[in-house]
Amino acid sequence: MKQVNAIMGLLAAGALLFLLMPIVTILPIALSSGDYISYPLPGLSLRWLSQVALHPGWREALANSIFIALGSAMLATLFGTLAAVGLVQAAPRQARALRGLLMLPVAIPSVVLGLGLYFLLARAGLLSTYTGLILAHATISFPLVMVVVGASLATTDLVVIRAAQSLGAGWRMIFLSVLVPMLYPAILAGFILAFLNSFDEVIVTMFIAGPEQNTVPRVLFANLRDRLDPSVVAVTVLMLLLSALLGLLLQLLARWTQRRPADQ
Amino acid sequence: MNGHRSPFSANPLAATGFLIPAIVAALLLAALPLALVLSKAFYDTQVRDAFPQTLEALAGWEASARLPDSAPDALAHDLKSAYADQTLAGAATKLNERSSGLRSVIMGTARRLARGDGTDIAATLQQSSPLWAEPQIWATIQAAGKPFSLVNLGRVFAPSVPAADGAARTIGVYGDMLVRTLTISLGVTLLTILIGYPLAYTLTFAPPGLKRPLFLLSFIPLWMSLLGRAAAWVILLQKNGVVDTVAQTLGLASEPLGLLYSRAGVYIAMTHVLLPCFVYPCYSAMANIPRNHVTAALSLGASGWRSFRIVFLPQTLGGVAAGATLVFVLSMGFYLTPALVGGPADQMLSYMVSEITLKIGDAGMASTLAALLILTMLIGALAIHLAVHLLRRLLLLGA
Repeated sequence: MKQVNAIMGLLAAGALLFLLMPIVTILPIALSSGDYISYPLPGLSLRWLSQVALHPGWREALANSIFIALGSAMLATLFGTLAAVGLVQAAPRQARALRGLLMLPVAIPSVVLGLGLYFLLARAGLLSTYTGLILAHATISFPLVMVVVGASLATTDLVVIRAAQSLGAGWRMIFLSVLVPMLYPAILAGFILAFLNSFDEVIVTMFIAGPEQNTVPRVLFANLRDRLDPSVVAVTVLMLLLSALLGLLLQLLARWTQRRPADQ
Repeated sequence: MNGHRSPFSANPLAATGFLIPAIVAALLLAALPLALVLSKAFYDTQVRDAFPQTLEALAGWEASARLPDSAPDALAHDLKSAYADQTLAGAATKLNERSSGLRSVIMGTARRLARGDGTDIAATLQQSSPLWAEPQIWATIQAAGKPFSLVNLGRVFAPSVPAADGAARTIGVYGDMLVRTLTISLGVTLLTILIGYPLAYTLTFAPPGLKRPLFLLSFIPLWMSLLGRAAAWVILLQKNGVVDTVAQTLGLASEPLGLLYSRAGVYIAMTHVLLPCFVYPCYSAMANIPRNHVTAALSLGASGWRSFRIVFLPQTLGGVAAGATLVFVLSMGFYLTPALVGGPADQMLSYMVSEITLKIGDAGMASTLAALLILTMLIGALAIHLAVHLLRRLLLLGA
């Protein structure tokens, strides 16, 4: 078995190198002082990062992205958390069918969902509106929240709900003063996931957003197809770093949630 | 197992209410759009909506008979109102699919009518295009007015359609696109299996101290922005970019590889993006296999390689199937990575759907392609499941 393990280990090292190489090599280019994207770097500077920070196009896109991501993540967190709690009390067979329906927004390929929303929002007069964008992003994000909060609920001892009920608490009170305080690391993790999901979304957005609703991924996508300069690299690196940092935060939250029952 | 006991038993309806916002969102903003796309694939009312009076005037008319006298006036009325509502262009595009050249005839006639030169409708039509004197054009409008049609589906698979001028026009492009999307997806699935299986294996058997860092390194890319990762590959693969520099420095290549805008680039970038999606389910399956199975095989005298092949490998195939299906389904819908890293000959169905919706405005054709994408995706997922099942049989028989 040693032989098998050694061969597998060697291949795995290659796979890891393949996974990490692009991410590691791209980071320093954002700090390049040169005019072109190339190694070796002529020197280090913050000129491209500052150029992005000062460029009105990127700033406007960033403001739009944050607005849409915050709005949709709040809605998605509300919908997803409520749904996760609702699924716990449904009978198993109904819960399975309902979960299938509720996962539909992430199961449909983005282009198909984008096309369908384009038809639907055109009829509803919501094409090129922030309302339409936020509703669409909330819909493709709430299943993620539901899964994360649902996983946390599955490891929670729900006897506390009965206890609260026997003390006379109604469902609203149980939700707000028992479940939310117990589940808040998972709810926060769900919010972060929903925020990231919206912040990275470009395909559905492309179908339903108007020209004045540029988001960071939309501008980046357009720039990548037209012209490559180090400011594009700077934005790419910033997006990768933001998502990696929030991803790490999610890991920490997950570990925290796992450890909590022992603390209490 | 006793029956399911709800933690909300005292007031079951209250907690069911918790599901309502999510159910409404899923029905209204996911199921309904999907239904719209699927229905538009075969059911298109654009022409019917743009030519209501013309179709009424043509009801019961056959191309061999004389054109009803009311038809030209009805047509003029429809053209004017659809032109004013801006719904004519879409309908004209649909008619153009049945007979190329019709779009310019219809739009030209509508513009002339909108300018209002001449009150003699018949003369205006005649001046706009001699085609209006032919029964053919009226028959086309009549046929296109029926909302249910398989015309779009025919255009995907038919090599050519007859045009108004009788010339054959090759439109095998959609069928090509479907085959190409399937080829790329299957290729990426195969690559992720080959690269991901050893990684999942090593994660499973890594010593405890090494496990956590290896896990973090393997799954951090999964959290990272999808567009960011595609962008990273554009930057790395470009001519004289990082990949070229490294390959030349190591003496692997004597000139730039030209991987950006190539099929090889698409395979590299898509495999990179989807690798963690294979590794995770595969790892889960491996971690659940009792370790003593392999130990037993070894102690019974099987070689390491043989115990791997007949004891370990068959038990991991469920995880391989799950990971491969996930990767295949996701890659069928890929848009960003091929759009950025691939050349014109490497674009996939999703790209075509968005191009013909947003640039050409042919919603019906886009819907047909979207429906085909979903159908192919489901069939492919089923086929992968069956293939892995067959492989497991073969491995066990070979033992």
